[in-house]
Amino acid sequence: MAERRSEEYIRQVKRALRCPRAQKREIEQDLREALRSAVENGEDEAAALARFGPADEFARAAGGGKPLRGKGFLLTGTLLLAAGAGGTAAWFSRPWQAPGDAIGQADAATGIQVVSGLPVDGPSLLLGGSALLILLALGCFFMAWRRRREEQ
Amino acid sequence: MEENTVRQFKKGGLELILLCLIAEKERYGYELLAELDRAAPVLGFAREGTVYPILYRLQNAGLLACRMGTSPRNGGTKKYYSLTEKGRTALTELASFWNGYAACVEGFLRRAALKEEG
Repeated sequence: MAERRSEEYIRQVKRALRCPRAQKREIEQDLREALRSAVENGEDEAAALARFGPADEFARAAGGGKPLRGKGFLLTGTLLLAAGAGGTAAWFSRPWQAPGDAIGQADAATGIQVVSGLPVDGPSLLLGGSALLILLALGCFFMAWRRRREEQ
Repeated sequence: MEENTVRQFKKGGLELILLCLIAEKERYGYELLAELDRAAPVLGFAREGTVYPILYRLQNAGLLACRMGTSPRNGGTKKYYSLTEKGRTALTELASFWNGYAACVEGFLRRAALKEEG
């Protein structure tokens, strides 16, 4: 019973910790060692566990060094970039609006070719934008991965 | 007694006490807690939730080094903390500050006591 409570406590601490994975592992090992030592010294595991205090408080105090901004930061950045690129592509290609020199809405019925004023057409712009976005996302992932490695 | 003030005193002193204990010899977490309970009862029962975060902070600051070792008592694996060179320097500086601080507080306490007597 006490063992199950300890495991649950350790799980809660790990979940609440905001630090690199290596540090999380170290804190987990320390928790296990401290509990083992308490039992070795004739203490009740539940009593020792109580001295650690609430799991989130312990996690905040123990792993309060550098919070990992990686995932949230990356996701927000990627979403913003995607929204920006999509908006720009949509604005320039204006699929909802017929060009000024089109004859009514009958483009399909006439042989008149509607040519965009941009040096590239809409699909190419979208494709280029997406490629740029993917490159940026990959760059962000690479930087986050490097930072993580440095922290470990 | 003002509980919050006492808690702040204890917290401030605990970092220095832990450095002193580890300066004597390398120790593992539970050993530190047991020693605190034995030698510093005025601090109250030492809690893992207070001591371990301080140890992590001192370790991150480069004042403590640690190694995994076998306990002579039962052969179990323990994490032993020792002072680094930086830790020794910090302890010397902190001890010097503490002495000045304690003398200063004592001076004020004496003044207050004299005033009360007079």
